[in-house]
Amino acid sequence: MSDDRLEERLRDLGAHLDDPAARGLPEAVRRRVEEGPRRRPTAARRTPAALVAAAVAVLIIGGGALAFLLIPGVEVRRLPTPPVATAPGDPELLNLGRPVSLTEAREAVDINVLVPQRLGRPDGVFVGRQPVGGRVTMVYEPRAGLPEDRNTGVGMLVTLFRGSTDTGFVQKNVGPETSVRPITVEGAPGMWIEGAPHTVEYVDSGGQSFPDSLRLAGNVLIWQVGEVTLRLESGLQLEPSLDVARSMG
Amino acid sequence: MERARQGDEAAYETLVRRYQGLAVRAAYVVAGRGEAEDAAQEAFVKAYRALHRFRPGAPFRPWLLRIVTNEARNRVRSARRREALALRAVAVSGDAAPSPEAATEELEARRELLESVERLPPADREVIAYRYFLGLSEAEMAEALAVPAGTVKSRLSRAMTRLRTEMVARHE
Repeated sequence: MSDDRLEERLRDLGAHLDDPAARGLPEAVRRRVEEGPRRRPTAARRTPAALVAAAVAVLIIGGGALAFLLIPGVEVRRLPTPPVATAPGDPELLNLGRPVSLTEAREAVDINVLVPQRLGRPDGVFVGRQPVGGRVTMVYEPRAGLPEDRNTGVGMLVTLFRGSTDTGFVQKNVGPETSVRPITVEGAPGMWIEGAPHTVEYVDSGGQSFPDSLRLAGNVLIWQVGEVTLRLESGLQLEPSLDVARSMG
Repeated sequence: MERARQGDEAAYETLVRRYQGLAVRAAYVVAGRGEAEDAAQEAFVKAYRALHRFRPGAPFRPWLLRIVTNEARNRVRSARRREALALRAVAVSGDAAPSPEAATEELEARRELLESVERLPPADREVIAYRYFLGLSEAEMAEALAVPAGTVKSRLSRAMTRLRTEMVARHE
């Protein structure tokens, strides 16, 4: 069968699909948008909504991409062009996970949840499922010395997860305008990503990406303590970020 | 569009009316019948709440479909199953109707093709469905499916090759 013929048959098939009827959909949507957003606790509501800066149109990277692993569980892919950030998002698409207390977070994951002493108790704590072993994200609202990061809408995100190459990984997609360089935090290996915003997504051990985890990130400091990978995302420069990182020891 | 962005619910309802067929169809091919309407509704609500982040002047259709696709994929993921697509029951009538034999053959051919599409991995099925069942352009597909713009063509071509393999396999 020729290509044209197959395309024609597929279009014909499309014309004969049994679509469900969308009865009353516009009215139902209108009722819901008039009701306004569902109420959530302050941190939970504000954080993900602001974070939606943009979901991103980079999912699987073509052959031109350069991938490198500096620390277990984090893969950086260098793209020939900046990652596209046109798509919208929604609080729930962001997938920070479910809001929990710090105590609940510590019970939920097999990770020593270190809190940066410099910032004190987080304004919000979330537990997510990916990568395997779970991850904890602590949210800090903007404050003096911690400006709002325009990519995330919050002051700082602190994420901890068990980094390992065989349990899935965090993939960072960076364009030419983003710089990535190796650093150390108290002797532990790490990297510093800054410049143009890059995108973050979680990829499981089967290579399945979680598109709803795609989002833009600002300046990022990632390092490894034992088997745990720690990540700070904020609008801060390297030195103040390192200060926060060192206070997690 | 601009009025909807300003928070005019009636203007947004008009947008929903215009795009509901496409949105439900996209959700249907990704998540199956049982989830399609709910996924579309949820996606429209999420899109409304994200409208202030919509870039004025950008095309709305792929932007919306990106949200629909995410919503539908999430539903398949949490349900861990997906209902297969089905053909509409057609009552053939009128002067242009083919003979009963020809109609049966056509129906059978469509059914076989649909079964082959259904056996494809989700990524291949989505790319084929968005191209031929939804009639999206490659640029729209890239945005809706979150695929780099430069690789939509090769993805589609690979999916078509797999589809042919499935079709051949059926006859062996």
